[in-house]
Amino acid sequence: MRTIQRLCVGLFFLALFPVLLCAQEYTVGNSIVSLQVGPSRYVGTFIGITDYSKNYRDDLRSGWTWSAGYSYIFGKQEKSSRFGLGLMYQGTYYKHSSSELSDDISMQYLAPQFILHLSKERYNIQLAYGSGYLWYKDDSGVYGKPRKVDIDEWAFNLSLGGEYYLSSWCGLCARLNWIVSESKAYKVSYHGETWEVENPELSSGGGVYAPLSLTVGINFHF
Amino acid sequence: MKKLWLIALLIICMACDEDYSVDPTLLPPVTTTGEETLGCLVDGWVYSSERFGYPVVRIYSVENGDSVVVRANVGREGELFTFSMINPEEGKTIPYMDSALNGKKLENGLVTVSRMGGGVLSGTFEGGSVTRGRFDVKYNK
Repeated sequence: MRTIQRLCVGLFFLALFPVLLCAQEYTVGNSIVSLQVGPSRYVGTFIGITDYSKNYRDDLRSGWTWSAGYSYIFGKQEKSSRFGLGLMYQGTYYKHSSSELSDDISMQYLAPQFILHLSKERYNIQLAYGSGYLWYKDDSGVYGKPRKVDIDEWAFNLSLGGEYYLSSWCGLCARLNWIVSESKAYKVSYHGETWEVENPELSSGGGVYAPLSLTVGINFHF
Repeated sequence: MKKLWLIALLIICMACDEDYSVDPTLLPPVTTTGEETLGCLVDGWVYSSERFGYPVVRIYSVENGDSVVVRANVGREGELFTFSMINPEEGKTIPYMDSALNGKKLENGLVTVSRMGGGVLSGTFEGGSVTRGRFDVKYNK
């Protein structure tokens, strides 16, 4: 019984913690470092995978993403809407295999960001657009033999994020980020040879691939 | 000598037909509609004709019936995969022989003919180091 009482008291203080922090100024400085992780959905056409059957593609669409970013918001903090610049990195990972075929897709995206920062009391909303480079790799397997697909293309992203300030220097954040890229060809390495596959017929001439990710994490302000 | 020139010409012509939209690391699906494909695994590695032109079927009269020879280009350097069978009949499993990849003899095996008619010959084959073989070709008797 005593343990439960302690637990209740502990939970009470834990619930009180953000309220106590309200008394503080919400942010200091104009710089924000953000670390986030969350689920991702592959939206668009697959390109260079080992199995184009509907069931296989459906199972390959769910993945994970992680991201890190830095942004600098210009102007005084009292202003409710401000403009910012930043840099975003996002890694995304999708994996699926059947008895004989497998795909292990990883995407790394790096892009400068143009940010519209809207803030009110303990909250802020960020809208961002960026354009950068997307490195796409598929370490796949075909009947037990290794096969690698590489695509490097320009991409752009649109994101909508929100933050709840826990203290003057950190906040809980969530972001919906949509990266879009297109490729009409891919390189595949297999059995000591590398092939260029142009306008691949299995994906109707090419692929518009667009990882849609919902991430949550922490923002640090300084 | 004339035969050699003809074979060389055939190889060159097949090499000209490279279809860059096809991924040569994937096997063609098993079909019976005359898709003009041939593919198999040799020692587990994929060999497929789809990128390198249509397979060629030749039918020769021999003592005990018809010998059907299937040849396909399965590489950018004109690598040939070939095998032959005697008197193929739809729905039957029969031996295939004279199987070779790029001149290297392969083990004999069995071919299951899933369609032979209407100018289409298709089936699946396996034997020794060759597994998951499939072909779906058109022929003229």
